[in-house]
Amino acid sequence: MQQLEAALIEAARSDSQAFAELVVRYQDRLYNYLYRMTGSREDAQDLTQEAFVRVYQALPRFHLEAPFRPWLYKIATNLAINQLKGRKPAIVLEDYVPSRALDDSPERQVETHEVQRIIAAAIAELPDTYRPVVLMRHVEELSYDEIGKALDLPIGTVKVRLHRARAALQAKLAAAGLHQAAASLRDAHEPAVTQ
Amino acid sequence: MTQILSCTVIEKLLNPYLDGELSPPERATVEHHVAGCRTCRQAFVALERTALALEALPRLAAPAALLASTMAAVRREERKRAASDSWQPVATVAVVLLAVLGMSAAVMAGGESLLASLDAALEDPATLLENLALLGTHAELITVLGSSALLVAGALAFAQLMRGEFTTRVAR
Repeated sequence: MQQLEAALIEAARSDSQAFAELVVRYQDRLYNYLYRMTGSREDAQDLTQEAFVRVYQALPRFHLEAPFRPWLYKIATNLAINQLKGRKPAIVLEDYVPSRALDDSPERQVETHEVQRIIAAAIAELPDTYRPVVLMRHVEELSYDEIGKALDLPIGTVKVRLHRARAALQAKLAAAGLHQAAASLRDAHEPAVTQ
Repeated sequence: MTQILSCTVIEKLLNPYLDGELSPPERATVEHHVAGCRTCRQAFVALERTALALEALPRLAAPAALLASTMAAVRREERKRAASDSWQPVATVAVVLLAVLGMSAAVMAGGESLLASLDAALEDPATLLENLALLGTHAELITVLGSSALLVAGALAFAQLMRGEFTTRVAR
């Protein structure tokens, strides 16, 4: 996997066809990240495109032995923060339509929907310094080390920010009385095997 | 080895525990503590639920048109790069050419005055010394022109280098 990625990045420096493969590989994750960072589909689309153009411009000078994902997310994060200029991301309610497993009861669908909406709103409320840490960890599944590299932060700071951000999200869920509902998401996440 | 750690310490380890960022002995310490401590167990369950809620957020896929528009922007960038790449040798050649022209003009000016001073010297040997002194000032001119051309070329090369270095830093 690592080898393939390194080969792809090296080829993408001089070959736009290889670069297109790199875009295909990362565009969904980057778009989703930028959507959570900005709260806007339009911004996410423009910024994803812009991030890839920046990657293309800088790729000839990228050190192949350096990890690619933190670098990619660093470019995307800087673009998103510039775009927001201190604003908080918007929350689009239509994006949280109940769409879980079909055999869920209507009550549970509504509950799931509500948990997601509260979590999304709580993420949007986080300061610009915390939001990327939470998103990189949970949505993108980057390690502490990768997050530190992406944000130029020591691992200790990543740890502290993640801890505080989760505590803030936890408090929002508790305030809405939805902690139990959040627990039931485990089943939604990993569908139970039917006998 | 089982360490007895306070809840305050364990609480700080719950996040890295959840993220799989602890070493096996650290994991064992946390597990041992949580198994016997109701408060920390509750804290961990609450943390785990928050993490589950985060992971269950809907993931949006990039719009279908994004790949095409991104690659169109990349190709525009590719053409821009190709254009600037093709201008770079032209600019280098222009600098070298200017330097060579400047120097040969100086040499020719110096050469002409040498011939003129030789002619004059043949007619009147007394002028020879005077003309040689004049040639000396021409030689200085040659040196000045030559070194200015070298300075300009050096400055241009340095500017190119800095531009590369700067963009690398910004992008990284």
